[in-house]
Amino acid sequence: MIRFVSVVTEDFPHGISFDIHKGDFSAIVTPDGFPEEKLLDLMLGMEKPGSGRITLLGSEITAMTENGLLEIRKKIALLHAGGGLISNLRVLENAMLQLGYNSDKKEDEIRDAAINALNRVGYCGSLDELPGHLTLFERRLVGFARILITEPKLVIYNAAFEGVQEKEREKLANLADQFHRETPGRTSLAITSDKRFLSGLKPDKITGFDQVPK
Amino acid sequence: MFDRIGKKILLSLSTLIEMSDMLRRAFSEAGPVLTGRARPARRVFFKQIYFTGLQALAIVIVIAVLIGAVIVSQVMSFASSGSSSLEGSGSIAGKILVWVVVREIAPLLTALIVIARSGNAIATELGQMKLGGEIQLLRSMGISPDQYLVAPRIFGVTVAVAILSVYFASATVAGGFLTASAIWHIPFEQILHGLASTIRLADIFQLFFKSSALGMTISLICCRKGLLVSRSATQIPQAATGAVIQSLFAVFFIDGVLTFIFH
Repeated sequence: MIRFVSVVTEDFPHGISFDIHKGDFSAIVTPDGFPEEKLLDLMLGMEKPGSGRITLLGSEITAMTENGLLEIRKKIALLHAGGGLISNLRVLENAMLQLGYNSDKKEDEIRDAAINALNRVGYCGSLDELPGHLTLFERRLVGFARILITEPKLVIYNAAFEGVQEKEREKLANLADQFHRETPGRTSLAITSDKRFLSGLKPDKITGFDQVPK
Repeated sequence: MFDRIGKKILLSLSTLIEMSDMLRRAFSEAGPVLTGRARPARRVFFKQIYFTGLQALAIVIVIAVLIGAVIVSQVMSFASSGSSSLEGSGSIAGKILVWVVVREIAPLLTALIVIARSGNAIATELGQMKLGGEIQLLRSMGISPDQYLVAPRIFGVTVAVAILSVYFASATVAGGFLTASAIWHIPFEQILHGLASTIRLADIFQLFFKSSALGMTISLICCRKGLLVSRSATQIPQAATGAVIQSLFAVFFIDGVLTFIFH
């Protein structure tokens, strides 16, 4: 599903290699100061490595064009630490964005699916609210609702279980676990700086980076 | 000194190349945006027309009516200064409204109003999105920033400026009519005769072409400036100011070039 083979960049001068298998709920645990964002950029083809090979959803992406990469990324959903919302779109528009862009479904169907997903994740606020007025947890819930309706092949949680209260973290972990089990073959990857944040997720495999690369 | 001039020329050339490339990418995304294949992008396109066009309509009409009143007042004052009769001056006022307003002032002043209202806003909004990592976020969702952010703004502003220019020209003529009639007691028919005998299809085409070119230039410059923000929040007001100044310069330059070409 995701394979890094001796990938060397300015941020990873000694090279990194790891493998995330299809259908697994995997985790990557990084030490303090680790450039997780750079790792994510490499994983999604937003940055090119100096050398090495990166495979994403079965395609070698290192030499792929931006248009080819955009097509692959449509099958992937991300939950960022800040929720990953577009600041000038309202809650409902944010939840609908990725599916509205990448599917032929009717507008009403997408709207209904987004409202259902927001209900499912337990978002209780206004659908017309802008992200700037939401709490961090609410932003993540809206980001999660967007993931739910996109039906992705791969879900990446980037520090999505950190920085919130324990109850909220548990809720997010339960949602992630349930969503992973709903569709056989779906791959989930949690990137975190501390193993403790993985409790409740039961990952099949944990890849650890012992040291900050530089 | 030559070194500095050379560097300035090279910088201007590379900016022009960058903008041409941005425009090319926007046009390559025009299909999905305008036909609605990329629905969220088409929504951004309509929102841009609403913000730049519809929301500016009131101020554009007020300014246009006042300018129409001023132009006609000046023509009448000039016409009455040499003789005691105003016979025929209504017709001259009509002709001058076409020469000055339709061909020149309507696209130019509409562009200036749009720079002041929307140019600043576009550069600031895109700068904030860039700084907040939202451009990368869109890419990570498989959404092309060119398609979702740049193309709808460029086409939205272009359409808005073209339509606003028509409203501007119409409101200026109306303002001129009203002033001539109410203050100088010139019959409508006289001004209408002057207008009808002067205006040609080419003038309407010129109005649309010029305003579209100016709208496209403004949006292109403002999008580019906003997307150049990369490091800190202090760059956002700099980008907004830079976008306004560069747009003003470009608008006057292009207006001059087009006027020269058309005449």
